[in-house]
Amino acid sequence: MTDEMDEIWALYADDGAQALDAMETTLAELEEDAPEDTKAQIGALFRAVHTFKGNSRVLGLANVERVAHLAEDLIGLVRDEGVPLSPEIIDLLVRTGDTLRGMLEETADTQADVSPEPSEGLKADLQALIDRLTGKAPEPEAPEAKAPAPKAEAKNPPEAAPDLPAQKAPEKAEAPEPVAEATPEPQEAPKPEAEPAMDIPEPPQPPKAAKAPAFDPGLAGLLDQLDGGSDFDESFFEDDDDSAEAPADAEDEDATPPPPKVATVAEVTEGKLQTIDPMYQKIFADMAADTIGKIAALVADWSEADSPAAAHKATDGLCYAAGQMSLSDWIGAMQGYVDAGTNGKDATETLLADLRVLYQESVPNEDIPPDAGTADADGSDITSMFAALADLYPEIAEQGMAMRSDTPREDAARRDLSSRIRRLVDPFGFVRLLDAVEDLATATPGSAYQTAELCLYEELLGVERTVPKGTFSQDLIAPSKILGAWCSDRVFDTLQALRAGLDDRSRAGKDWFPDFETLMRQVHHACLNFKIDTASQLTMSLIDLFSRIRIDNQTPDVILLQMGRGFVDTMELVFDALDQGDTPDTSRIEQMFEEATNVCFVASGMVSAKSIETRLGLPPEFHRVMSPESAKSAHVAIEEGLHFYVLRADLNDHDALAQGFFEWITSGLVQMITNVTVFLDNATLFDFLVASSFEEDRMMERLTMLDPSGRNLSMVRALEVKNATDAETQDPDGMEFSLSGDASDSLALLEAVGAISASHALVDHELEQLSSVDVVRDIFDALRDAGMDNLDGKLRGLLRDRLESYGARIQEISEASAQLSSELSHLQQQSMAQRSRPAEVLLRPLKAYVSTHAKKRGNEASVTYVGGDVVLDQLLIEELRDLLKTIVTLRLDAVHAATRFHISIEAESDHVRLEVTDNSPSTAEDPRLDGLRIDLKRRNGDMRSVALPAGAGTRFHLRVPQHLIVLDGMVVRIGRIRYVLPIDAIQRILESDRLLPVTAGTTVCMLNLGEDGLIPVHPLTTWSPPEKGQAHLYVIVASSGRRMAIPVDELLGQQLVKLRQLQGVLASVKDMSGIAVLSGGEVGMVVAVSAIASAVRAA
Amino acid sequence: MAYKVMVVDDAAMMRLYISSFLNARKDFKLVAQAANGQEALDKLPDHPDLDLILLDIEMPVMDGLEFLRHAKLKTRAKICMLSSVTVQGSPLAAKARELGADGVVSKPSGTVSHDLEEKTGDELTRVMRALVNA
Repeated sequence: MTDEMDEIWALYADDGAQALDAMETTLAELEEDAPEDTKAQIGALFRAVHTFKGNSRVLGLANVERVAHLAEDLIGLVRDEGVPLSPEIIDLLVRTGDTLRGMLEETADTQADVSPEPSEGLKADLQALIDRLTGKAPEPEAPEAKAPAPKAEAKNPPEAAPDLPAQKAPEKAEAPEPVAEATPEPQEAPKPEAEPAMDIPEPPQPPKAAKAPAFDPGLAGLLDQLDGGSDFDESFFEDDDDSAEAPADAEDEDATPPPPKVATVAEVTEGKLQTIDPMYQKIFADMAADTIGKIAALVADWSEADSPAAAHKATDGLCYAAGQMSLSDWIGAMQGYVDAGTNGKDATETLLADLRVLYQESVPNEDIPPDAGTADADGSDITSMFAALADLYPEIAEQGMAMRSDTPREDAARRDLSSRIRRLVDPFGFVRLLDAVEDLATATPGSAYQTAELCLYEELLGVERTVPKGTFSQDLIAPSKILGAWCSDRVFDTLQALRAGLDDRSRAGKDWFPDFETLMRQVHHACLNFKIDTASQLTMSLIDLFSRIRIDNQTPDVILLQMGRGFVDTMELVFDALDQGDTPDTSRIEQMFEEATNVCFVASGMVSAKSIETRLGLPPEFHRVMSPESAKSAHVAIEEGLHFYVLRADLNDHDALAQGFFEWITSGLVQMITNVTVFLDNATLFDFLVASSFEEDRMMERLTMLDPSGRNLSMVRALEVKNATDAETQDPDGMEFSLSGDASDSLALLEAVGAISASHALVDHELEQLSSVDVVRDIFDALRDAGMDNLDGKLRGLLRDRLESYGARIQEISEASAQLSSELSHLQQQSMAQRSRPAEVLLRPLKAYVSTHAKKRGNEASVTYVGGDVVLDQLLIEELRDLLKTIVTLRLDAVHAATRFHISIEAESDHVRLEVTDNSPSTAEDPRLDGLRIDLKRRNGDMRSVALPAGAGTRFHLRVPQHLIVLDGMVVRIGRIRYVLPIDAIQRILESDRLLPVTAGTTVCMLNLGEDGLIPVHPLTTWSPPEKGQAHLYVIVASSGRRMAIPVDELLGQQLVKLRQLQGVLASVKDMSGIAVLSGGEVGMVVAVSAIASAVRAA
Repeated sequence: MAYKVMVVDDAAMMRLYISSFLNARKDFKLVAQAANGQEALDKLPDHPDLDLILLDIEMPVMDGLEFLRHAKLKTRAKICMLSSVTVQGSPLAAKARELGADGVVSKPSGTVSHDLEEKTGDELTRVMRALVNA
């Protein structure tokens, strides 16, 4: 609304300035050049002033308009009545022009009318001259005499009294009849062929014009009109004070001969809305839409008591406006209805239909006012529902704010609001919307209410999506607008909450997803609000990806979480840019959308659909329809060297053919990869992508056998399989997986982050030490110890103040350092996460590999597995891939080839445990397996094989050390050595004297935990149990269900450390999994809790 | 008591496969079928107590997305897309989510997936049960 008004005032200022420029130029020409024929200049002068007057009138500037009107009358005498142009007239018009320019500037600036007083003198002079020239007033006695300037004129310095004209005034008998002010404008003066664009508001009065209410020159009325906030009969199109003078003028009109025939506005515009100024077109169109909406609402809910009068009032207003603009077609449609006074429902429906037709014809590019009940609502009027709801939006928003504040609305108030919304919605039977309305009344304050609010707006949006385009005119707020604004307002909070949710990996499944979806939906609507379409699509893609996991209540895997975090980071930048008024860089969003589309292929470790599409040269209808399963089938078929064909089948109406066809493609002779729907005219056909060992002629033969007519089953094309290239294909064994980024790069990054973290940990440690010291006390203690405690009180106070000040600063730095430390830890974890993938990416391709390899040997083999969700480092995945591939290949190639494998993967703190069980009775003796054993042993791992009873198969047990582990550890000191105990393994830490020797004379002891029972004490180094009754510090750790107490001398604190595997002879150090560089630069031994647990179990 | 299901798919064979899939699950019962969105919309009033709609996207007359727009207003039945073009994270899966699909499952082998039970049976069952129990 404000924008519209500003636009109108800017238009007024611009147009007015142009008019006054034209007036000034023309007057200068007349004054300086004194042309013999002044007709062209007078015409231009009249048009300029007329335009200015019209503009002023439209904006309700009565005082400005009055001055312009007098000037126009004066020029009119010259143009139409034969009054000769005199210097007096020119001077007075120059003065008028100056005054009007001042008025223009003031009104454009204040957007309000000027005060009438300053221009009283000018008006008096103009009126006096007009009167004199028309014989209403006597000629001045002496030409030299100067007209006395009215008092008010003193405020207008440019306005000096003009010289009176030297020439004689025209004879009264020759003088034209006076021009009555209230006479309709077109009768006052002939119009030029082409009126200036703004020069429209002076049409002939329509029949009803005389009863139009007085014009309110204030802006409030105008604003209301544009807002649709007031009834139309108070339109700003109403006439000015001319109408008040109408009776007097009427007499003149009767007394005067008909004015010369001039073109009316109606003639100029041909009575069509399309031909008038675009701004007025828009204003009228808005009014028409508003009126049609009102009438439609009345028709939908007709009441004989009230509706006729209301419909008449609304129509009368629009009819009057149409009259003002000489829109004859609109007048024609409404005049009869208005003249009839009151009308019944039938007549009103007829009128409504006529107005709709007119609107569609007149305003082709604008939204068409909705038809009552054009949506799904059995003749009810959805438009009126939305119109009524619009009144409630502020209250809904207000309630929303209250429900998110500390003082939520009372239940009764909420029920009342819901009840009012329900009454509006109920007739349409939008069941989910009704549920959302109910939730609004019952949702608890806080985020639940916010979700209910979102749900309500989304359901309304659902209705909006089904109504005809154009239902929402400018005055009717669309739910999408409300929703967009609502979500945009809080988008930064939403993104922050999303980030927190994505970082909180402890939450999973059903507890996690609803919040995620709600937040993502809000981002989606905010994106739509800013017209960032790809981002809005991406939010929904991510919702889809996460929701598929939701069903299994799984924790989203690391690839998805990374994608989600990347999305939040990107969107924060995008909305930041928008917030700053910049154009956001959305290229990353495009890239992410592509990634989202391919993520299921990446996560499954399979070749992407895109690479299959490329290799087979598939037609466009197969683009993006291939599922991971189809891609896998196609990949295997390519590797088997099969031929690919696209077959077209018309099956829906041919049951026998359909049955035969499906039996054939599931028989093993051909393999169906995928199929798509093809619409040809009215027929629904299917294109099948199949693979087969058949050559093309053989395939044709088969098709002919199935459908001898060839009409319902045909070959569209035989595909040529392209050679694999690096860009298009993956590992020919189907064991490769594609991941963004390079493993070695991310490893280097992780190393760098680790080095920075370690250095910072040292600084942090020192700062913490410093900040924990009470410096004041320390200094005064030292002074006292040195016998210097007799300090002067003032000196003591000064010293204390300064020391406290330094202490406070150290404390602040320490806190900042702790914050930095936390962020570095987070970064380190993030770097780790980027390198991590679920074991699924290893196991799924292994299944495909086993199947393919067995087929090559004329066998069949399958794989089952558990532990697909175990998260592993990329390097380890690559290592395991080679390891597993070697084992299964040997077993598939064995004399008695394995046909079934079962693999389980389990991750321990420092290693991965695998079991590969097959059903081959062949022994597991092979030099290649020996090589694997030796290699694993060298790296502190292990592999052994066990023959299952009765030749049922072989089980391989593998223990593979993890390459790169970042441990959240508790650093402890035992003697002079520092150890790191994985935090995950620590159950509790306690100081206890309840030690029980197991055997007299040995150090083997149990620790009594009271209700928690006895647990073995496992010293990491040589240790002497404390004397009876003497307490000692113990860390209770657990692994594989086994608990033990590790005695320690001191706890040094929690720290994130990067574990380095022990190599060579060090690999045999008992109970240790590696070393780590600690924050102080010392080396700590990382305790292998799982190994200790095994030892304890064995003992 | 079995949950009442409507299947909307233009491929007669696919409707047959889905029907067979539903028959194998005692907690679901096929009560209505339609070959396109318009037909399904027309049948909705006859099944006010429907629990679930399995909905294809690419169909003549009225496609699945258009049906979704309208059906969401008229029924509380959960609507689960079952289409070959709703691969995880794909543009059409995103569109279906945007329009309010309660669940989205991809057909494993295209428009007519004879291996629905074999390859997607578990997933579809989990999704259907999660939706009707929500």
